[in-house]
Amino acid sequence: MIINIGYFAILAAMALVVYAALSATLGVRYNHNNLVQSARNSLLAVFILTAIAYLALCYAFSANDFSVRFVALHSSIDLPFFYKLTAVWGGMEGSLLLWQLILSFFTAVVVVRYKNNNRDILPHAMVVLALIMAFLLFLLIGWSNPFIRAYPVPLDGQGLNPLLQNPGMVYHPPSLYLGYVGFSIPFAFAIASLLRGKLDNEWILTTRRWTLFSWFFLTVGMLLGAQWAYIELGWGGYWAWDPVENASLMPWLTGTAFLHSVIVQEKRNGLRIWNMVLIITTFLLSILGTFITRSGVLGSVHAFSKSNIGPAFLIFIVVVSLISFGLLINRQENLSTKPQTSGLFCKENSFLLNNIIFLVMAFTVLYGTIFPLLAEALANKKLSIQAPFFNSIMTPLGIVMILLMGVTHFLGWKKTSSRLLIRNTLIPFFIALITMSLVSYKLGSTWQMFLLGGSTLFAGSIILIEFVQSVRINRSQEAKKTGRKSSLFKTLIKDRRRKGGLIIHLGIVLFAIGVCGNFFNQETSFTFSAGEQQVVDKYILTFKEIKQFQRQNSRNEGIEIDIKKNGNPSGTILPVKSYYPTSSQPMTEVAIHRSLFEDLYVSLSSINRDNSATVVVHINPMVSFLWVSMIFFLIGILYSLSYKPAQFRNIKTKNRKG
Amino acid sequence: MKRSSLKYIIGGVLVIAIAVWIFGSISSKNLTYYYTPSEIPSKFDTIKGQTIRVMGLVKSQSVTWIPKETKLQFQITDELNHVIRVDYTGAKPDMFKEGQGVVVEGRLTDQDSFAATTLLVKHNEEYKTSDHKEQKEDYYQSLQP
Repeated sequence: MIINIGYFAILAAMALVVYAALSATLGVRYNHNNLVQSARNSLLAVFILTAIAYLALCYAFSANDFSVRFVALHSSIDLPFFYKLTAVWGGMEGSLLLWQLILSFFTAVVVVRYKNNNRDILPHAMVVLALIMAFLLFLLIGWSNPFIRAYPVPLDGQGLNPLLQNPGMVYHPPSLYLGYVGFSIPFAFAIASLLRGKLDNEWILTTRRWTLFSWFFLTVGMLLGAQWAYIELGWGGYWAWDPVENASLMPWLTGTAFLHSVIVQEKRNGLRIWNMVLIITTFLLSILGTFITRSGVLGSVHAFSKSNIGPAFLIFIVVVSLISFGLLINRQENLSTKPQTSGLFCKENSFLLNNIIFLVMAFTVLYGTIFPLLAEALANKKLSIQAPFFNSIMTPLGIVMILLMGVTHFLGWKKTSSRLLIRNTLIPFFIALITMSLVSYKLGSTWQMFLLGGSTLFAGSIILIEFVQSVRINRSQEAKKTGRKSSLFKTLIKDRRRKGGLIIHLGIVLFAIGVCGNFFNQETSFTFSAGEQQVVDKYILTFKEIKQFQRQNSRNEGIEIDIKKNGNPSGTILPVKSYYPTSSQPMTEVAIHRSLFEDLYVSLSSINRDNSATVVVHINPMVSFLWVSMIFFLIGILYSLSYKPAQFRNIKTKNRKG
Repeated sequence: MKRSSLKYIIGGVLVIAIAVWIFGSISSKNLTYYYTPSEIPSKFDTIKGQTIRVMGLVKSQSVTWIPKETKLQFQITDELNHVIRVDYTGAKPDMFKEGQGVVVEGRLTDQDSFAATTLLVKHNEEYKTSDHKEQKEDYYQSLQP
């Protein structure tokens, strides 16, 4: 019964979304505000209906309603309740419903919040958002329906893949979706302003916070995914240039470029066509990402055409590309501005280079991901492109990007005094050079490590110096104004936009340091019996005993290992193999002995017939830096979100006066 | 066409040409081709020095696993029953067993033996969408008395 309500809610939502699109279009065409209002109300109703459908599906999971095929495939009676709720996004149909839920919610927020400003382009934005939702709902009604029944009703479900029964998998997909869907809002406003012909900068200022918000969730979503892979997949690393991983990286690259590029439009009215191209590409790549991950095209290219979802996504992408780029080409002359004369070393050129490099990176990832698929589809030749391809291209580009990230702080708009530039970058340069030379001398290195480490240290020192400078300047400003020393708190909350950017860039520096750790990874595998010990680098691992124990829905077998680091006792770890009744595959639970600068990562490969254990041991330096960077992203984004562009301050007084 | 634009266009074409050249050379160096065991004898002379991937099934009764040295030896085969012996040093993957689909990456040491540096076991396709035709058939089947 509840399930039927859910399905009818989706049907009704579909009808309303089509109505909203038509109504808003006619309302704009014939200048009938009532029709636009009606569209607005429909979109609010669409959110409520989607929420009802989503809750209905959640209810089915919590009530163990295995008459619903989706529930039977992804849940089981013994699944912990928490994971029953998160299993909603454990499959294609539920994920699409979550996507639609978030999109309808964001749309509702947009139509409520921007009621009084953006009057000219809001109806157009509503049409764009409504049409995107129409596509999702169309899939949900037909080919990707989470409410389909299963006959005969199974007594128990197939259970959730044990790999997904992990806190990381709970937050990773929703965070990514918040990011993907979040970028739809600037996209909708961009298309809206193209449609309307209102080609000023208002849409950029309006959607600035959406862009920041989306960037944060996309970044954290990817890092959480990497952390999940590190802990759950047990191969010792966190990024394998896997097609699914690449699918999320591509929109991140263009989205980050967009995030920076719009600053040039805001301050100097430049890069306007670039910004359109970047936001359209980001939106398309996020749809393409979902397509690659969920359409089955990865299992085999030939499997993709068996279901109708794959072709549907492709057609959607093609149609949206044609319309968006067609509109852009059409309005091109009105958008492009006369190039302002500026020196070679200026912020504008730095951002332009930033855009170009990010675009090349995105293309590289796209090429490496799509090429094997195309080769198999067109030439029936199966091949694989592995990490070395991506690393050879992305590493040099990454080095340039990090250098840019540091240097751009000292570049001025229009032009920069070279004397000032050299003076500011001299100390960071020498810090980087000396440190990397010491590191290379002590530990040996490759040119990639030297340059990547060097540029990271260079950018890092610049950012730290800039931050301290910024606080100092705020302090003296406050002192001049009020005549007395100001509190540290007051200075920390001044200049939030600038500080926010610095803190986020510092997070990137930490991330890059974590990546540099890969140059010093070690891996070894060996077998030992109870009582025996093995020496790995600075650690001594002693196999104490085999332990067997039961958890809520799994039987577990592990070995207890004593760790000695540099001769001193350093705790015990327990790598485990878990057996779930609903899965034929045992799950490996790795044991990680963490310290700030290094992870000792132990995976239990097998307990052999003679009760000896085979383990794989990785030593991964600097991994913790990757996870710590997330905190900096959070703090930085909160700083940046709290900044209100000057044009929007005192808007209430402006309206009252006007 | 303005003279300044010509400068940019030539520069742009040069940059793109260099980029394409770099791109092409890196990607061709990093392509790893897949072969089935039966394809190997005919292509042996061309691929014998290259790093390739072989995909197939683990032949039953062919697995030897020596835990103390983490040495794994087995035979990989396909539908045409051609057999290649595989030697691998390292931990045995979880799902590795007779009859399982596997992919090995490494080099051929002989016409019918292979030294593997990487061993991948075919994982279940969690992300695959449901095949609706199959669903309907299963449903009708389940209705049979």
